[in-house]
Formats: sequence, structure tokens, C-alpha cells
Amino acid sequence: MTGEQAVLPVPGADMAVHRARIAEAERRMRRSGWRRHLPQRGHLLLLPLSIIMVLPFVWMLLTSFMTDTEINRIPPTIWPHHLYTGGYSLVLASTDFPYWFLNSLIVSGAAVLAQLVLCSLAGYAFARIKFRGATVTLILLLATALIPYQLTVIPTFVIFHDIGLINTLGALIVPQLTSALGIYLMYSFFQSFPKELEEAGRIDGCSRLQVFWKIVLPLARPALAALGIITFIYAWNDLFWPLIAITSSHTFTVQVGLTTFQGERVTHWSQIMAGTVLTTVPVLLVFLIGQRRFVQAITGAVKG
Amino acid sequence: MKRIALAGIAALALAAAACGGSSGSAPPSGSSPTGTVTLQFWHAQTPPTDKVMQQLVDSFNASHPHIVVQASSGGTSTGDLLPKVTTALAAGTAPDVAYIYGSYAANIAQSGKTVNLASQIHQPGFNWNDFYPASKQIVAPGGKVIGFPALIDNLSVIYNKKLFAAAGVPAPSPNWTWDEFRATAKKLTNPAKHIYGVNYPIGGDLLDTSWRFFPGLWQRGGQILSPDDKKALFNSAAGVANLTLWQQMATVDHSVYLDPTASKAEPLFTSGHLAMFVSGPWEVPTLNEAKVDWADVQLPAVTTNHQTVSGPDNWVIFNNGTARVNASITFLKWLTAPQQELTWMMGSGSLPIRPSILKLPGYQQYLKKYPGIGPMAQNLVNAKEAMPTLPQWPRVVDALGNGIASVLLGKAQPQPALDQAAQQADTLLNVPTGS
Repeated sequence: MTGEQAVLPVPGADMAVHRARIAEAERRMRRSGWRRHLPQRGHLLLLPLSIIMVLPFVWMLLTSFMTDTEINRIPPTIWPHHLYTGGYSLVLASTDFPYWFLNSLIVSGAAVLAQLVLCSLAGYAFARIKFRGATVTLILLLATALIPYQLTVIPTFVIFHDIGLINTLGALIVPQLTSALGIYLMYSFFQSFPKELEEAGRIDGCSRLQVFWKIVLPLARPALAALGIITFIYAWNDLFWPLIAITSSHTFTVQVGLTTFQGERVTHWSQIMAGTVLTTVPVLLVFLIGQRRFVQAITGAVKG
Repeated sequence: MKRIALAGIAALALAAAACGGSSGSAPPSGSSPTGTVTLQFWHAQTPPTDKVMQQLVDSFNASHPHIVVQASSGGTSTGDLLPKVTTALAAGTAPDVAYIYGSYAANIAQSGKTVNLASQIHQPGFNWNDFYPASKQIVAPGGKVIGFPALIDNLSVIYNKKLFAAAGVPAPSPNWTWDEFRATAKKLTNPAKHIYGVNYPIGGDLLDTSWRFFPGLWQRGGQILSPDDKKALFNSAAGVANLTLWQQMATVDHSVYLDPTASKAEPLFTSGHLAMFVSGPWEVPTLNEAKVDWADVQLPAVTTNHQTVSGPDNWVIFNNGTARVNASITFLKWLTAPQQELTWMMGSGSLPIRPSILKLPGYQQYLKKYPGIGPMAQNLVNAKEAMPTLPQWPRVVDALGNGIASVLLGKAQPQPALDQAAQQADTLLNVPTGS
């Protein structure tokens, strides 16, 4: 605003003075812009921490361009001597990696869509609709998150086998359709959502579902983005259940596929690293795209 | 964490399976109205050896019209196959044949869902006497023959010829002794150039720490456990003498690279920082790819016995009804026959599981394809005894492995460390297992 005021034409003023004011305003803007980007004290702590976080990714990327012999060299090789792309070629051409990638996308995408719809509906119901046993139901629902996942694997396997889902992508999607964490995240958000906005909608003649769809959900985007990112990353990285439920190579997810590069005695590191780089890209993209809303939702949740 | 979780699942599943916790239906007979039997075969092979296995299966299917073998890795590699198999066992959906580590044989047998071929193995077609002794013992925990031997390996000393030449040390003679081994390792050690004489793993998989202790124990007349498997005997004078040798090498000569994760010795060797690498045939592809100038020799002896240790794995047959069991036996008789085994060896670099394979004409081509593997195959005759196959075995080796590691790190003396490990082992061995 200061800058805009400075450039307003001043009747009767000397043109040179006017130009000087413009120049001064621009200088101020530049200075304040620079100041915004100058390191502050907090960055002294964050910088080494960010290096620690980034280093494994950089190492993974560099290693993915090395041969197994180069990877195993002691002292360790930091920069690849030659840009070896054999790891990528083998992963993409000699394995079912494209299938694995597509399967992971289908499973993660379906899980995200389902959780956005079902968890937001359930969270909204718990936050807004009064019904007998609501609190007990919510507590019981949250308590399911305390049961170790490993304990439920065998009964889940038996049920899924009986309904014919084992060794299909359905076996990977169905358990992720909803989650206690997702419902609680949305429930917390809707509890702090201003009721007045909904009431205004109701006065205008909207049904409860219309209020939810047209007023509440558009304003819940930060929470939905956070839920989407958390669900995607969890579904994408899940190894344990797919390892148990899937047997045929065409139905592997990327994480299960990567384990096949580790034989009983020999580990194909260049292929593992190339595969891991390709596997990490979607997760990074999802996070980078939704980062701002994710941080908004998390910080909002912390502030309560 | 993943391994712990998988091990937990495996234990739960085995318990569920042993309690009859499956879906409860009677095992399907497995044959279709046309008389064709379809088998599920989980071989746990990863690329590229999975393709070799598939070719063999295709060949079997073409020559056996009444049996269809559907092969797959099982969805994972060998190490992670156990929890999958045990979960499937609990659900009543076990494959017909699966590749299972020898160290899990007793646990898997305890599920009650495996076959017992003890009464059949001497019938024609099995050629049971043509398997190496260690293989036959591992596939028969408690005398119950749960399948067929699938793989055998052994420990020998792989050495870097260039490092020997640079140190002016002659190549080891096949008739060498442990004293010569110690002296050789000491001469080859060069702290200035970060070169170690030999390796010993002290972390990661403690089975790896323990199993290389056994050759020296057996050679000195010692035993791991009592004949009834109720008492640990590895803390005998033979065990103490064996561990004392390694202790002296590690703490006095400083000639031993104590591998904290059991995975660093290989890159040290391929990088020219380890002169002698106590390892096995699984290293051959890596060593040749890294273009190391290497050779190998059998383990040293106290006097003349160069006994080594072997870690065989098994093809386990699960009881999915008489028709499928019989078809599985037919398939495994065919798969483990010398000619098929040789095809498998050519594709995978595995060692022969039958001594008769060494006499096949094609064996010479195998030796040419895998330079250096010949002495390892010859060394199989030195694998005279097998490690115990008990449900408690994985925990017994953990106790022993921790004892060995503490001695090599200079934190304990051999006798008290082995006594403590033996005490822990005795406690484990006397816990009822429900078998």
C-alpha cells in the first residue's frame, strides 16, 4: 500500500520529486522483499536438519546411477563414475514394474477417494448429528486404532479368501476404504466449523446433504487435503498386507515388487535404488502439490 | 521392524494352523473331473532365476498331461515367504509345494499340515541316497520327511589372489590347518592399507554368527546339542578351543574384520580390503561381476578333517489331499532329478544337491560357466553333519551368536560366554513346544 500511495499523482508537485518518491518506494519494496528471504535465527537449526533429511534422497538418486560393483566399493563411491542407467533399464524392461506402478496408483487413488468421501461423511455425522450412543460409538471406533495391525492379518486373510478377494487389487483397496484416524481428523475439523454458515444454508432451503456438499466440503479443503496426503502416502508405502495378500507378479504393488530385487543371497542394489527413485516420485509430487493445505490443516488441528 | 512383524505373524499363524485354526474344510482332493491335478508351487525365486524355474515347470507340464503346476514366486523372496505360507496355512489355503528355509523346517513341520514321506523315500524314483547327508537331515525334522531337498551350500575360504601376492604369502594349500590359517590372516593384515586378514560377522543375522562356529567345533570332536536335543554341548572343551582361536585372532592379532551387519564383508572383499572371505557359492556371481581375481579352498582342519557346515533349504509339501500330494511327489521327483537339477544349476549357479550330478557330462559346462565354483561343489563331501532342526533353533543360535560376538569384541572370555549361552539354550530346549 505504501508503494501505491507513493506513485499516486500529486497535483502541482514537481515531476523530479515525484520520480524520487517512486524510486524510494521501489527501493523499499525491494528491501522488504529481500528481507523476507534473508536467513533468520530459526534457519540455523533448520538448515542442518533439512540436510539430514535430504541426504538419503540424494544418496538414493546418485546410487541409482551406479553399477552394483560401484555401489559395493569401499571406500564408498559418492559420485557415479559413469552415468549407469542399467538399473532403470532392468527395472522398466525386465520386470513387471509398469504393472506394479499402475497397481499402486489404482490402490492409492481408490483409497484416497474412498476415505475423502466416507471419512468426511462419518466425521460430519459424529460432529453434527445427535444420535443415541454417538460418543460410545466414536470411542469404540477410535479404539480400533489401538489394535496392532498384525493381530488382524490372519482373520482378514481368511475373510478375504472366503469372499474371493485374495490375490486381487480388491484385497488391497477394501481395508483402506475408511480409517479411524481419517474419521477423527474430519470429526475434529467439523467440530470447529462455524455452525452459522450451515444454519444460513438451511434457512436458504438447502437439505442437510446439500449443506454438507455445497457449503461445508468446499471450506474443508485443508482437512481433506491432509487426509488425502496421509492416505496416499500410507497406501503407497504399505508393504506388509500386500506381501501377505498378493501372490502373482501382475498384481504386485511397487513396494512388493521392490522386495523381489533382494534374493536369498544376492541383492541387486542398482535395481532397488532405481525402483525406489521411481517409487518415491509420486509421493513427493503429492506432498509438494498439497503441502500448503497439509500444513494448514495440521497447524489448524494443533491449534484446536 | 518389518522382519520382526513378519516373524510375529509367522508365529501366530503357525499357532493358529497347529490348533486347527483354518477355515476348517477338509482338504480338497485336488483332481478335476477330467483327472487333471493342479498344483500351486511357490518357488520364492526372484529375477532372473524365476525365469529358469518357469522354463523347468513348463517342461514338466508338457511332459505330464495329468498334472498342471502353476508356479509363482509366492509373491515375495525367500526370506519373506514363511509368513505368507503360514498365514495361508492358517486360512487353509496353503500351496502344494513351497520353498522354505531349512532353519524353519521344524516350525513348519509343527503346523501339522505337512506330509511325512518317511515311509516312501526308499521307493524307486526318489533316489534318496543320492542326496547329500546334510540335506537329508534338514528335510526330516524329528524324523518326519516334510518334502525334498531344494538347495545346499557350504562354507569355504574365498581368497583374493592379488592380496596374497602383494603380501608375499603363498596361496593356501587344501590341506592347511587352523594354525596356518591364523598365521596367514595375520600376515595379510595391513592396518596402514586398511586390509583385514579374514571376516567374522557378529551382528545382523545371528545364525550367520553361529553357523561358522560349528565346523571348528565338529572338527575337534564337539557336538552342538545332546542326542536327545535337550542339552547344549557347544560349551565343551572343543567349543572353547574353537572360540579361543577366533578370540586370539580378533583381539590379539587384530586380523579379523568383525562385520557388524553381516553385509559389509562382501564389499570389503570386492574392494580389495579383505584377503580371505569365509563364505559360500552365493558370492560367485558378485565376485565375478566385480572382476576380483579370486580362488577358494576348503576350510582349514585341526589335523586332517576339513569338515564344513551347510545350510540346506527344502521343498516342503503341504497336505492338500491325496491326489495333490501324490502329484507334488511326482513333480519333485522330476524337479530334483539330476538332469533337471543340472539345468537349474546352469541358470542359477547353485551347487549340485546330488553327488551323481558331478558325473553328468554337462557338469563340465557348469564349471566353465561359473569359474571358481568347482572347489565349492567338491567341498560338499565335507558337509557331513547338519545343524539341528528344532522349533527353538532360531532362538538357540541367537543365544550362541551373542556369546560369540561378546568374545570377539573382547568383552567376555570364551568359557563363561559359551556357558552362559548354553544355559540360555538349555532353558529354551526344555520348554515344551507342543510337537
